[in-house]
Amino acid sequence: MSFEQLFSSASILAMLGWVILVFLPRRWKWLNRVPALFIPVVLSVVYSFLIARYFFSAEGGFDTLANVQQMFTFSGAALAGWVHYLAFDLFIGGLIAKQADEIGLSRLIQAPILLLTFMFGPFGYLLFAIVKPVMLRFSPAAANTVVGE
Amino acid sequence: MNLASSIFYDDLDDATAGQAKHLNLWWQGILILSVFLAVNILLYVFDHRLLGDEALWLKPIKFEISVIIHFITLTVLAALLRPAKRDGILWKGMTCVVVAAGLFEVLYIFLQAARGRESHYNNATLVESVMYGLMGLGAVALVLGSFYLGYLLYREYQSEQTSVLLLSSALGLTIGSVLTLIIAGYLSSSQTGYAADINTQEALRLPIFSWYLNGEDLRIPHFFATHMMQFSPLYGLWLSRQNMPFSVCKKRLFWSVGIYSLLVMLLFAIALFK
Repeated sequence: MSFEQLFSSASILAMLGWVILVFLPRRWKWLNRVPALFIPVVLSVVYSFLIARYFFSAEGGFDTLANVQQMFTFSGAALAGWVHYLAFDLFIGGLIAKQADEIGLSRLIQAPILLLTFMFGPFGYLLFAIVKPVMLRFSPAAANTVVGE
Repeated sequence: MNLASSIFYDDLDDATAGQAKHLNLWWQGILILSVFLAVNILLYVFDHRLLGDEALWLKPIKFEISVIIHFITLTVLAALLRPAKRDGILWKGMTCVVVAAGLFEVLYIFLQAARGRESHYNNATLVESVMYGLMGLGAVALVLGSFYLGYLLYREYQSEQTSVLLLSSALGLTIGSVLTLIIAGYLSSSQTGYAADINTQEALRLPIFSWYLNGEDLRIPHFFATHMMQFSPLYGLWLSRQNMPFSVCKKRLFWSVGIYSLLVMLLFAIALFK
Protein backbone atom coordinates (compact mmCIF):
# COMPACT_ATOMS: atom_id res chain seq x y z
CA MET A 1 0.00 0.00 0.00
CA SER A 2 1.41 3.41 -1.00
CA PHE A 3 1.68 6.36 1.35
CA GLU A 4 -1.20 8.06 -0.48
CA GLN A 5 -3.42 5.00 -0.12
CA LEU A 6 -2.53 4.69 3.54
CA PHE A 7 -3.24 8.41 4.05
CA SER A 8 -6.69 8.06 2.44
CA SER A 9 -7.57 4.87 4.33
CA ALA A 10 -6.56 6.32 7.70
CA SER A 11 -8.46 9.55 7.01
CA ILE A 12 -11.63 7.68 5.97
CA LEU A 13 -11.41 5.46 9.05
CA ALA A 14 -11.07 8.49 11.32
CA MET A 15 -13.92 10.24 9.50
CA LEU A 16 -16.13 7.22 10.13
CA GLY A 17 -15.35 7.52 13.83
CA TRP A 18 -16.29 11.22 13.86
CA VAL A 19 -19.55 10.54 12.04
CA ILE A 20 -20.45 7.96 14.70
CA LEU A 21 -19.49 10.36 17.50
CA VAL A 22 -21.38 13.36 16.17
CA PHE A 23 -24.45 11.87 14.49
CA LEU A 24 -25.25 8.36 15.69
CA PRO A 25 -27.11 7.42 18.88
CA ARG A 26 -25.18 6.57 22.04
CA ARG A 27 -27.50 3.90 23.40
CA TRP A 28 -25.40 0.97 22.17
CA LYS A 29 -22.15 0.44 24.09
CA TRP A 30 -20.54 -1.51 21.27
CA LEU A 31 -21.10 1.38 18.87
CA ASN A 32 -19.63 3.90 21.31
CA ARG A 33 -16.48 1.80 21.51
CA VAL A 34 -15.88 2.06 17.76
CA PRO A 35 -14.79 5.75 17.79
CA ALA A 36 -13.61 5.81 21.40
CA LEU A 37 -11.48 2.67 21.32
CA PHE A 38 -11.44 0.51 18.19
CA ILE A 39 -10.52 3.12 15.55
CA PRO A 40 -7.90 4.92 17.72
CA VAL A 41 -6.28 1.53 18.44
CA VAL A 42 -6.19 0.62 14.72
CA LEU A 43 -4.70 4.03 13.91
CA SER A 44 -2.18 3.59 16.72
CA VAL A 45 -1.07 0.29 15.19
CA VAL A 46 -0.59 2.01 11.82
CA TYR A 47 1.27 4.84 13.52
CA SER A 48 3.55 2.45 15.41
CA PHE A 49 4.46 0.66 12.21
CA LEU A 50 5.19 3.93 10.37
CA ILE A 51 7.26 5.34 13.17
CA ALA A 52 9.32 2.14 13.55
CA ARG A 53 9.84 1.78 9.83
CA TYR A 54 10.40 5.39 8.68
CA PHE A 55 11.00 7.79 11.58
CA PHE A 56 14.68 7.05 12.09
CA SER A 57 15.51 7.24 8.42
CA ALA A 58 14.08 10.77 8.10
CA GLU A 59 16.33 13.79 8.43
CA GLY A 60 15.58 16.47 11.01
CA GLY A 61 14.36 16.12 14.60
CA PHE A 62 12.25 17.63 17.38
CA ASP A 63 14.83 20.06 18.78
CA THR A 64 14.10 23.08 16.56
CA LEU A 65 11.18 24.21 14.43
CA ALA A 66 13.39 24.06 11.35
CA ASN A 67 14.29 20.44 12.15
CA VAL A 68 10.62 19.51 12.66
CA GLN A 69 9.81 21.09 9.29
CA GLN A 70 12.74 19.21 7.74
CA MET A 71 11.48 15.90 9.15
CA PHE A 72 7.99 16.43 7.79
CA THR A 73 9.29 16.90 4.27
CA PHE A 74 9.81 13.13 4.36
CA SER A 75 6.56 11.38 3.34
CA GLY A 76 6.77 8.49 5.84
CA ALA A 77 7.31 10.87 8.77
CA ALA A 78 4.60 13.29 7.57
CA LEU A 79 2.16 10.42 7.22
CA ALA A 80 3.03 9.18 10.73
CA GLY A 81 2.42 12.71 12.03
CA TRP A 82 -0.97 12.83 10.28
CA VAL A 83 -2.05 9.46 11.67
CA HIS A 84 -0.93 10.68 15.09
CA TYR A 85 -3.32 13.64 14.76
CA LEU A 86 -6.15 11.40 13.58
CA ALA A 87 -5.73 8.87 16.39
CA PHE A 88 -5.33 11.32 19.25
CA ASP A 89 -7.99 13.79 18.13
CA LEU A 90 -10.54 10.99 17.79
CA PHE A 91 -9.54 9.51 21.15
CA ILE A 92 -10.02 12.91 22.78
CA GLY A 93 -13.33 13.28 20.91
CA GLY A 94 -14.46 9.96 22.40
CA LEU A 95 -13.53 11.14 25.91
CA ILE A 96 -15.32 14.46 25.39
CA ALA A 97 -18.48 12.69 24.16
CA LYS A 98 -18.49 10.32 27.16
CA GLN A 99 -18.01 13.08 29.72
CA ALA A 100 -20.44 15.38 27.92
CA ASP A 101 -23.15 12.71 28.17
CA GLU A 102 -22.41 12.30 31.87
CA ILE A 103 -22.84 16.00 32.62
CA GLY A 104 -26.05 16.22 30.57
CA LEU A 105 -24.65 18.33 27.72
CA SER A 106 -27.09 18.15 24.81
CA ARG A 107 -25.99 16.39 21.61
CA LEU A 108 -26.83 19.63 19.83
CA ILE A 109 -24.20 21.48 21.87
CA GLN A 110 -21.75 18.58 21.67
CA ALA A 111 -21.85 18.70 17.86
CA PRO A 112 -19.91 21.98 17.37
CA ILE A 113 -17.46 21.02 20.12
CA LEU A 114 -16.78 17.66 18.47
CA LEU A 115 -16.62 19.16 14.97
CA LEU A 116 -14.06 21.69 16.16
CA THR A 117 -12.08 18.93 17.90
CA PHE A 118 -12.15 17.04 14.61
CA MET A 119 -10.92 20.03 12.63
CA PHE A 120 -8.74 21.88 15.11
CA GLY A 121 -8.10 19.37 17.96
CA PRO A 122 -7.10 21.48 20.96
CA PHE A 123 -9.54 24.30 20.14
CA GLY A 124 -12.48 21.91 20.49
CA TYR A 125 -11.01 20.52 23.67
CA LEU A 126 -10.56 24.06 25.03
CA LEU A 127 -14.25 24.75 24.45
CA PHE A 128 -15.23 21.61 26.34
CA ALA A 129 -12.74 22.31 29.13
CA ILE A 130 -14.50 25.65 29.72
CA VAL A 131 -18.06 24.41 29.24
CA LYS A 132 -17.71 21.35 31.51
CA PRO A 133 -17.05 23.07 34.88
CA VAL A 134 -19.85 25.54 34.25
CA MET A 135 -22.26 22.69 33.49
CA LEU A 136 -21.14 20.93 36.66
CA ARG A 137 -21.51 24.12 38.67
CA PHE A 138 -25.15 24.33 37.64
CA SER A 139 -25.82 20.58 37.75
CA PRO A 140 -24.76 19.52 41.23
CA ALA A 141 -26.19 16.03 40.85
CA ALA A 142 -24.12 15.33 37.73
CA ALA A 143 -20.88 16.30 39.47
CA ASN A 144 -20.94 13.12 41.53
CA THR A 145 -21.23 10.83 38.53
CA VAL A 146 -18.53 12.24 36.25
CA VAL A 147 -15.52 10.03 35.69
CA GLY A 148 -12.11 11.58 35.33
CA GLU A 149 -12.49 14.41 37.82
CA MET B 1 -41.01 24.74 40.07
CA ASN B 2 -40.72 28.56 40.45
CA LEU B 3 -40.24 31.08 37.65
CA ALA B 4 -36.48 31.50 38.09
CA SER B 5 -35.96 27.75 38.05
CA SER B 6 -38.11 27.44 34.91
CA ILE B 7 -35.81 29.86 33.13
CA PHE B 8 -32.70 27.76 33.74
CA TYR B 9 -33.94 24.17 33.94
CA ASP B 10 -36.36 21.87 32.20
CA ASP B 11 -39.44 20.93 34.18
CA LEU B 12 -39.03 17.54 35.80
CA ASP B 13 -41.17 15.35 37.96
CA ASP B 14 -40.55 15.88 41.65
CA ALA B 15 -39.22 12.35 41.90
CA THR B 16 -36.46 12.92 39.35
CA ALA B 17 -35.82 16.61 39.87
CA GLY B 18 -33.01 16.08 42.33
CA GLN B 19 -31.23 13.51 40.21
CA ALA B 20 -31.07 14.78 36.69
CA LYS B 21 -31.32 18.54 36.94
CA HIS B 22 -29.13 20.31 34.42
CA LEU B 23 -29.20 23.52 32.45
CA ASN B 24 -31.77 23.57 29.68
CA LEU B 25 -30.82 23.67 26.01
CA TRP B 26 -31.12 27.46 25.83
CA TRP B 27 -28.57 27.98 28.58
CA GLN B 28 -26.26 25.31 27.18
CA GLY B 29 -26.38 27.25 23.90
CA ILE B 30 -25.77 30.54 25.72
CA LEU B 31 -22.85 28.91 27.53
CA ILE B 32 -21.02 27.76 24.40
CA LEU B 33 -21.78 31.05 22.62
CA SER B 34 -20.30 32.90 25.59
CA VAL B 35 -17.12 30.84 25.27
CA PHE B 36 -16.97 31.72 21.57
CA LEU B 37 -17.51 35.37 22.50
CA ALA B 38 -14.65 35.30 25.02
CA VAL B 39 -12.34 33.68 22.45
CA ASN B 40 -13.46 36.25 19.86
CA ILE B 41 -12.75 39.18 22.15
CA LEU B 42 -9.22 37.86 22.70
CA LEU B 43 -8.78 37.49 18.95
CA TYR B 44 -10.12 41.01 18.42
CA VAL B 45 -7.50 42.35 20.81
CA PHE B 46 -4.54 40.48 19.32
CA ASP B 47 -5.45 39.98 15.64
CA HIS B 48 -5.71 43.32 13.85
CA ARG B 49 -6.60 42.12 10.37
CA LEU B 50 -9.29 44.03 8.52
CA LEU B 51 -12.16 42.72 6.41
CA GLY B 52 -13.45 45.45 4.15
CA ASP B 53 -13.16 48.57 6.24
CA GLU B 54 -13.68 47.14 9.72
CA ALA B 55 -11.88 44.88 12.18
CA LEU B 56 -12.16 41.24 11.13
CA TRP B 57 -13.41 39.91 14.48
CA LEU B 58 -15.97 42.64 15.13
CA LYS B 59 -18.72 40.98 13.11
CA PRO B 60 -18.59 37.58 14.90
CA ILE B 61 -18.60 39.43 18.23
CA LYS B 62 -21.74 41.36 17.26
CA PHE B 63 -23.51 38.22 16.08
CA GLU B 64 -22.57 36.26 19.20
CA ILE B 65 -23.92 39.01 21.45
CA SER B 66 -27.06 39.24 19.34
CA VAL B 67 -27.78 35.49 19.39
CA ILE B 68 -27.04 35.31 23.13
CA ILE B 69 -29.56 38.12 23.76
CA HIS B 70 -32.09 36.31 21.53
CA PHE B 71 -31.67 33.03 23.44
CA ILE B 72 -31.92 34.74 26.83
CA THR B 73 -35.08 36.53 25.70
CA LEU B 74 -36.71 33.32 24.52
CA THR B 75 -35.81 31.22 27.57
CA VAL B 76 -36.91 33.94 29.99
CA LEU B 77 -40.23 34.54 28.21
CA ALA B 78 -40.84 30.81 27.68
CA ALA B 79 -40.84 30.53 31.48
CA LEU B 80 -44.13 32.45 31.41
CA LEU B 81 -45.79 29.52 29.67
CA ARG B 82 -47.55 26.81 31.63
CA PRO B 83 -45.26 23.75 32.13
CA ALA B 84 -47.51 21.65 29.89
CA LYS B 85 -46.97 24.09 27.03
CA ARG B 86 -43.29 24.62 27.77
CA ASP B 87 -42.69 20.88 27.77
CA GLY B 88 -44.87 20.29 24.72
CA ILE B 89 -43.21 18.58 21.79
CA LEU B 90 -43.75 21.61 19.51
CA TRP B 91 -41.93 24.10 21.73
CA LYS B 92 -39.22 21.53 22.54
CA GLY B 93 -38.77 20.89 18.82
CA MET B 94 -38.69 24.61 18.08
CA THR B 95 -36.08 25.05 20.81
CA CYS B 96 -33.82 22.49 19.08
CA VAL B 97 -34.29 24.17 15.68
CA VAL B 98 -33.59 27.69 17.00
CA VAL B 99 -30.53 26.67 19.07
CA ALA B 100 -29.10 24.67 16.14
CA ALA B 101 -29.71 27.61 13.79
CA GLY B 102 -28.05 30.08 16.18
CA LEU B 103 -25.00 27.86 16.67
CA PHE B 104 -24.69 27.28 12.94
CA GLU B 105 -24.80 31.00 12.16
CA VAL B 106 -22.21 31.88 14.77
CA LEU B 107 -19.89 28.99 13.91
CA TYR B 108 -19.89 29.80 10.20
CA ILE B 109 -19.37 33.54 10.74
CA PHE B 110 -16.51 32.68 13.13
CA LEU B 111 -14.85 30.31 10.63
CA GLN B 112 -15.21 32.77 7.75
CA ALA B 113 -13.68 35.52 9.88
CA ALA B 114 -10.74 33.23 10.70
CA ARG B 115 -10.33 32.65 6.97
CA GLY B 116 -10.47 36.40 6.34
CA ARG B 117 -13.53 36.04 4.11
CA GLU B 118 -17.04 37.45 4.13
CA SER B 119 -19.87 35.27 5.41
CA HIS B 120 -22.74 37.41 4.06
CA TYR B 121 -23.25 38.36 0.40
CA ASN B 122 -20.44 36.00 -0.51
CA ASN B 123 -21.18 33.95 -3.60
CA ALA B 124 -17.55 33.72 -4.67
CA THR B 125 -17.43 29.92 -4.50
CA LEU B 126 -20.12 27.26 -4.67
CA VAL B 127 -19.60 26.28 -1.01
CA GLU B 128 -19.79 29.91 0.18
CA SER B 129 -22.88 30.48 -1.92
CA VAL B 130 -24.61 27.40 -0.46
CA MET B 131 -23.55 28.37 3.06
CA TYR B 132 -24.93 31.89 2.57
CA GLY B 133 -28.23 30.35 1.53
CA LEU B 134 -28.19 28.10 4.60
CA MET B 135 -27.50 31.13 6.78
CA GLY B 136 -30.65 32.68 5.36
CA LEU B 137 -32.61 29.58 6.35
CA GLY B 138 -31.02 29.70 9.80
CA ALA B 139 -32.04 33.34 10.22
CA VAL B 140 -35.63 32.47 9.26
CA ALA B 141 -35.59 29.65 11.84
CA LEU B 142 -34.40 32.10 14.53
CA VAL B 143 -37.28 34.45 13.77
CA LEU B 144 -39.86 31.68 13.46
CA GLY B 145 -38.92 30.55 16.98
CA SER B 146 -39.63 33.97 18.45
CA PHE B 147 -42.85 34.34 16.45
CA TYR B 148 -44.10 30.95 17.62
CA LEU B 149 -43.31 31.75 21.25
CA GLY B 150 -45.18 35.04 20.82
CA TYR B 151 -48.18 33.09 19.54
CA LEU B 152 -48.03 30.66 22.49
CA LEU B 153 -47.81 33.59 24.93
CA TYR B 154 -50.79 35.26 23.29
CA ARG B 155 -52.81 32.07 23.72
CA GLU B 156 -51.74 32.06 27.36
CA TYR B 157 -52.84 35.69 27.69
CA GLN B 158 -56.21 34.94 26.08
CA SER B 159 -56.97 32.33 28.70
CA GLU B 160 -56.61 34.82 31.58
CA GLN B 161 -56.73 38.38 30.08
CA THR B 162 -55.08 40.09 33.05
CA SER B 163 -51.31 39.95 32.56
CA VAL B 164 -49.79 42.95 30.83
CA LEU B 165 -46.43 41.14 30.83
CA LEU B 166 -47.87 38.25 28.83
CA LEU B 167 -49.52 40.61 26.37
CA SER B 168 -46.43 42.80 25.94
CA SER B 169 -44.24 39.73 25.42
CA ALA B 170 -46.63 38.27 22.86
CA LEU B 171 -46.83 41.58 20.95
CA GLY B 172 -43.08 42.19 21.09
CA LEU B 173 -42.20 38.73 19.85
CA THR B 174 -44.78 38.49 17.08
CA ILE B 175 -44.56 42.03 15.68
CA GLY B 176 -40.77 42.14 16.21
CA SER B 177 -40.42 38.84 14.32
CA VAL B 178 -42.56 39.99 11.41
CA LEU B 179 -40.74 43.33 11.10
CA THR B 180 -37.37 41.56 11.34
CA LEU B 181 -38.38 39.05 8.69
CA ILE B 182 -39.47 41.81 6.29
CA ILE B 183 -36.35 43.93 6.73
CA ALA B 184 -33.87 41.04 6.92
CA GLY B 185 -35.59 39.41 3.94
CA TYR B 186 -35.12 42.57 1.90
CA LEU B 187 -31.52 42.86 3.13
CA SER B 188 -30.57 39.32 2.19
CA SER B 189 -32.28 39.44 -1.20
CA SER B 190 -30.41 42.62 -2.07
CA GLN B 191 -27.28 41.69 -3.97
CA THR B 192 -25.63 44.96 -3.03
CA GLY B 193 -25.63 44.61 0.74
CA TYR B 194 -26.86 46.75 3.59
CA ALA B 195 -25.42 50.08 2.44
CA ALA B 196 -25.36 49.97 -1.33
CA ASP B 197 -25.39 53.63 -2.24
CA ILE B 198 -23.45 55.03 0.66
CA ASN B 199 -20.16 56.77 0.11
CA THR B 200 -18.36 54.69 2.73
CA GLN B 201 -15.35 56.96 2.78
CA GLU B 202 -17.29 60.07 3.74
CA ALA B 203 -20.31 58.84 5.74
CA LEU B 204 -20.25 59.32 9.50
CA ARG B 205 -20.22 55.97 11.40
CA LEU B 206 -21.46 54.97 14.84
CA PRO B 207 -18.66 53.38 16.86
CA ILE B 208 -19.03 49.69 17.84
CA PHE B 209 -22.18 49.25 15.72
CA SER B 210 -20.35 50.49 12.58
CA TRP B 211 -23.61 51.90 11.20
CA TYR B 212 -23.50 54.63 8.59
CA LEU B 213 -25.41 57.56 10.03
CA ASN B 214 -26.63 59.20 6.83
CA GLY B 215 -29.92 57.30 7.12
CA GLU B 216 -29.35 54.79 4.33
CA ASP B 217 -27.94 51.90 6.36
CA LEU B 218 -30.51 49.05 6.42
CA ARG B 219 -28.93 47.54 9.53
CA ILE B 220 -30.44 50.33 11.65
CA PRO B 221 -34.15 49.43 11.09
CA HIS B 222 -33.14 45.73 11.29
CA PHE B 223 -31.63 46.36 14.74
CA PHE B 224 -34.67 48.20 16.07
CA ALA B 225 -37.09 45.65 14.58
CA THR B 226 -35.27 42.75 16.23
CA HIS B 227 -34.92 44.46 19.58
CA MET B 228 -38.63 45.11 19.78
CA MET B 229 -38.58 41.58 21.19
CA GLN B 230 -36.80 42.96 24.25
CA PHE B 231 -38.27 46.46 24.36
CA SER B 232 -41.91 45.42 24.52
CA PRO B 233 -41.62 42.77 27.31
CA LEU B 234 -39.41 45.11 29.37
CA TYR B 235 -41.93 47.91 28.99
CA GLY B 236 -44.69 45.45 29.91
CA LEU B 237 -42.74 44.41 33.00
CA TRP B 238 -42.37 48.06 34.01
CA LEU B 239 -46.08 48.70 33.44
CA SER B 240 -47.03 45.65 35.48
CA ARG B 241 -45.15 47.09 38.46
CA GLN B 242 -46.98 50.41 38.32
CA ASN B 243 -50.06 50.86 40.38
CA MET B 244 -52.40 51.24 37.43
CA PRO B 245 -55.56 49.47 36.28
CA PHE B 246 -55.03 46.82 33.63
CA SER B 247 -57.04 48.74 31.03
CA VAL B 248 -54.71 51.76 31.34
CA CYS B 249 -51.61 49.54 31.10
CA LYS B 250 -53.05 47.85 28.05
CA LYS B 251 -53.79 51.18 26.37
CA ARG B 252 -50.28 52.49 27.04
CA LEU B 253 -48.80 49.24 25.79
CA PHE B 254 -50.69 49.40 22.50
CA TRP B 255 -49.64 53.00 21.99
CA SER B 256 -45.98 52.30 22.67
CA VAL B 257 -45.88 49.19 20.48
CA GLY B 258 -47.62 51.08 17.70
CA ILE B 259 -45.25 54.06 17.89
CA TYR B 260 -42.21 51.75 18.05
CA SER B 261 -43.42 49.81 14.97
CA LEU B 262 -44.01 53.04 13.06
CA LEU B 263 -40.52 54.21 13.97
CA VAL B 264 -39.04 50.99 12.60
CA MET B 265 -41.04 51.28 9.38
CA LEU B 266 -40.03 54.94 9.05
CA LEU B 267 -36.34 54.05 9.42
CA PHE B 268 -36.80 51.28 6.86
CA ALA B 269 -38.51 53.64 4.41
CA ILE B 270 -35.76 56.25 4.84
CA ALA B 271 -33.07 53.63 4.21
CA LEU B 272 -34.91 52.43 1.09
CA PHE B 273 -35.85 55.68 -0.53
CA LYS B 274 -33.37 58.29 0.63
